[in-house]
Amino acid sequence: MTGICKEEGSYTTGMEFFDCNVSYGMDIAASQLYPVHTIDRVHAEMKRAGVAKAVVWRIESATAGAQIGNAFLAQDLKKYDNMYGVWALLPPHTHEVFEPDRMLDEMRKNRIIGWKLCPGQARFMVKPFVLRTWLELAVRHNIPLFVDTADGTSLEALAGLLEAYPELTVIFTDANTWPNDRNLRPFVAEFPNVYLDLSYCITAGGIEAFVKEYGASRLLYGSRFPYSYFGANMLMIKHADIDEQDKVAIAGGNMKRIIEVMDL
Amino acid sequence: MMNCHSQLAQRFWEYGRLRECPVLDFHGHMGPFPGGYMPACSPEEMLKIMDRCNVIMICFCSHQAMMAPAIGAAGDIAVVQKYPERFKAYHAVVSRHLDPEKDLEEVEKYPDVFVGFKFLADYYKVPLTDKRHQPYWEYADKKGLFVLVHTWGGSIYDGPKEAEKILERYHNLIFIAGHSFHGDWEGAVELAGRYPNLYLELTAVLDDRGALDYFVEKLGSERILFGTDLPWFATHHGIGAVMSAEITDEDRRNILYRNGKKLLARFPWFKDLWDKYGAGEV
Repeated sequence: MTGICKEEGSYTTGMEFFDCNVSYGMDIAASQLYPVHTIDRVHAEMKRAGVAKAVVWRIESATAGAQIGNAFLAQDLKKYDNMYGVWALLPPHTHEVFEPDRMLDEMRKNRIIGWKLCPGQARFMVKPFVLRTWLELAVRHNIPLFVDTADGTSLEALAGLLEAYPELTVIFTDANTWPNDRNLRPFVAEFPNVYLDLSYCITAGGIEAFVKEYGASRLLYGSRFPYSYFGANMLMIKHADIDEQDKVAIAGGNMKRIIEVMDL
Repeated sequence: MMNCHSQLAQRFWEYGRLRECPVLDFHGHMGPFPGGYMPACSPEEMLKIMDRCNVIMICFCSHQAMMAPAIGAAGDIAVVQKYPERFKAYHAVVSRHLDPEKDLEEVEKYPDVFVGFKFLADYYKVPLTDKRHQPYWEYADKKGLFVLVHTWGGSIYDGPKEAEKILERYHNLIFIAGHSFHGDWEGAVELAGRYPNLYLELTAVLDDRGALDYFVEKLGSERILFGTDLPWFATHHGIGAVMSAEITDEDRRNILYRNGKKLLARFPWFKDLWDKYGAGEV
């Protein structure tokens, strides 16, 4: 599992892939056949697959703690300007991550474009009163919250946050149930800024059926690399039975727009 | 482009389907499923997806055949008879509602419909070696049929240990390990190394990066079959994963159609089908 594409940049398709779900680092909780420990390796694999940009997450932000992983990530991102980071969030009450009045400035300086909740490992409750300070900041500045049910946020807990803050931008990965339209569609229908990461939305005909009902603006290309291949969902999007402009939006346009409307 | 090291990947990327690289899918279902919404579960919707990828044929067992014994195989027979060149069926072995005499008579009566049996032991919580299953294993072995088995690493019903008890005894049937003993990749490869009639099937394997690469590295690509669980997994997702793995284009061709072609050659109806579609598109 090595190799860098020498023909980098020679396969332009007009469809830019911006992956919303990439991670790397040294996972102490799970073994992988071919782990990806460094951002350099992520970058090489992105080139091989033809992925232009990615939102990346350092595994240690959950397994070693937000302070450790967030600092690693900020350092790593200095090397590659086609990657954008996501920091782990903790309740502000314990003052373990940047204080709210400093957070936005640090995010801007370090190309951090969102926050991730890992209540399973970090052990806190996902309730509006626990995260109020962050949620108010997120709504005010259009900062996306990356929520993956595999990290310990239940669907009920997410529903609670959104009922309290319906304008919240959420990039939602539902890892616990599949096929999952029965869970996902009500969130999309009810809350205008909920976006679905396609990492686990890989049902036959799923994209076509969703776009027909809700349009393409709420779907984001995500691979879940290195746990899945970059190319599997790329081919699924590229040859979906939907309009070309919808494919472009899902591949990268929607993620790009989410970052553009952020106000840091 | 998925994989700039692979010419085949680049062509699939451009066209989505290739005349000179047809696909044979060894793990399909059909119809609505109680645990989730599947928008493309009718035979016609499945055919549309198959056409978009040049899947010339899929071997399937409908959800109803597996989960509604009152319906049984009647619906599957009707689908194969309506689309005989595109669908072939596995007869469900519904462990708690078996009627071997009737089931085997049905398989015997429709040799152009059935390629073998489908076991779903994990769902029924009845191990593969349960004595109620014996007539089905015996029949499949005698006739050299396929047996698609849902297999899962660590399962007491259809994990590697349980499968080995079957493989020790039956050498003529083709044991298709659906999901390749999911998660126990090492066990899957070891078992396949010992039993030449065991094939590893890729449904639900392909969303785990690295498992396919590992199979090919340790076992080679000639005992691996492509499958999607259609209408579960998007077929292009599966093909995209095969194109992304760090294996050769020859390996990809083995997995997508060459291995399947060799196995299906045992059925008299396959030659005509392959002559018609194998070198071109459906």
